[in-house]
Amino acid sequence: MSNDKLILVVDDDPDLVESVSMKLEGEGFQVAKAYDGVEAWDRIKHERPHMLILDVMMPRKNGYELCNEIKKDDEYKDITVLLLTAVADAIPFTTYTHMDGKSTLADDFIPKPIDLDNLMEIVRDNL
Amino acid sequence: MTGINGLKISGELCLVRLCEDSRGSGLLPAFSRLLAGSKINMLFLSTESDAGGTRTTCCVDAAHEALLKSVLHAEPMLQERAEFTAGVGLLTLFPHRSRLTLFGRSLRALAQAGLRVFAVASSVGTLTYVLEYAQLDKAAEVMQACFEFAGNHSPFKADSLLRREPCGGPEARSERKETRAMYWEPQIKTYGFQVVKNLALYTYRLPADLPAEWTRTIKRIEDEATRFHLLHAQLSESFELDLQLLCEPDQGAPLARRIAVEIPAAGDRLLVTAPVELIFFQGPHFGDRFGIADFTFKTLKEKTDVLRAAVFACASIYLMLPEGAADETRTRLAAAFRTPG
Repeated sequence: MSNDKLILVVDDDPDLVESVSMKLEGEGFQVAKAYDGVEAWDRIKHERPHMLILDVMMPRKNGYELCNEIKKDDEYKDITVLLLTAVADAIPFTTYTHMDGKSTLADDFIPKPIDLDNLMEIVRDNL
Repeated sequence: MTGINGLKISGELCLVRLCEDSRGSGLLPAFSRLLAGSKINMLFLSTESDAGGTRTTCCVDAAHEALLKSVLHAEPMLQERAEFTAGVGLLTLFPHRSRLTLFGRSLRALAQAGLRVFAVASSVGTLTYVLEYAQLDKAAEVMQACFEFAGNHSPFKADSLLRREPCGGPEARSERKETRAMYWEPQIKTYGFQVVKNLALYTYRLPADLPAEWTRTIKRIEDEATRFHLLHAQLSESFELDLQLLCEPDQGAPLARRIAVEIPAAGDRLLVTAPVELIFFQGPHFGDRFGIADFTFKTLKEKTDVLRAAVFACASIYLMLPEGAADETRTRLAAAFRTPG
């Protein structure tokens, strides 16, 4: 199976980046990786992905900030953004909220953990 | 030059070594329970067990050292078997993509720089070394000379903030860089369990001072295209690095044969155990949360006694088991943890 769509996986957890990337590669997608919001912006500008699978809680620039910057930028606003986050469930003692996520312009908001097969379906549905 | 995506270094940690003379004495589950009860997170755990006993290396935040010592004081059996080494830290490289290249090259570079390795373990995507905390910056420099990093990669220093209390207000929120969440749910969530059977375990003892022939051995590992499922090593009491490499037999056997031919002395230091089985799983923020090891061992109950090895590194957990034990263990874990689907 081959697919010319490039998907950028962004999370500060390298294990999650790797498992999602391997699954996407197995489905034939091209994959790029970044481990915080600043690095992700750099990849977006250089590699122009079709989709971002984006974590929320990250150093330097969090996923909400990055999502909003992308969606407010005419050059990049068409990139599909899937927010993938543990914040979707109630987490006490965190500054991040589900409401923050819902107020972004992300194309979908997916709670962690997700079955990777389900994630692939969501990816295909959104491309 | 080999390219990798990134490197992380931790804050200062304290290393705890536990040695048991016999398998199944329950020391590790008791230790894990004690840490969970005191809300102390294990940031790294590598344990291996054989007929000669069980050897464990774990790391906790340096700020928890005094608390850990005080709770151990009430448990004499644990206290007398626990040995502390202050001033260690983690250096994490990623991704390894299941190839030995990253391990061979990084271990050789660390050895050539004279940096002592206390332990190393792989996770789903990473390779984590336990090194002297004071040497972490030097180790990062060594890795920068050894590997080509992706452009604008994350900074090496941990840039995270652990929030313990709700925090409100637009000013606080605008400056947030929280990357870890202190949370606990009634049923711990994972991405699901993976089982791999019919694996071969290669146990290999590397002298810590790494004479030339062993450096060549590591070079051989570095050059090999061998794929592995798990690798981990701990520094023994005799300052040797006991490496365990878990591979498909057709991957590990050629490497073992080559090493035995090139270094005849290696034969005495190489032990092959087969077949063995492996369960591994990962969960959101597993590396940031106390009690994950305790919950796992409590779920395994008496099956903990048959564990050949366990590794908790980054956000991944690996359990190595004898033949025939994986399916029932997975059933227990799947009933205790919450899996999506």
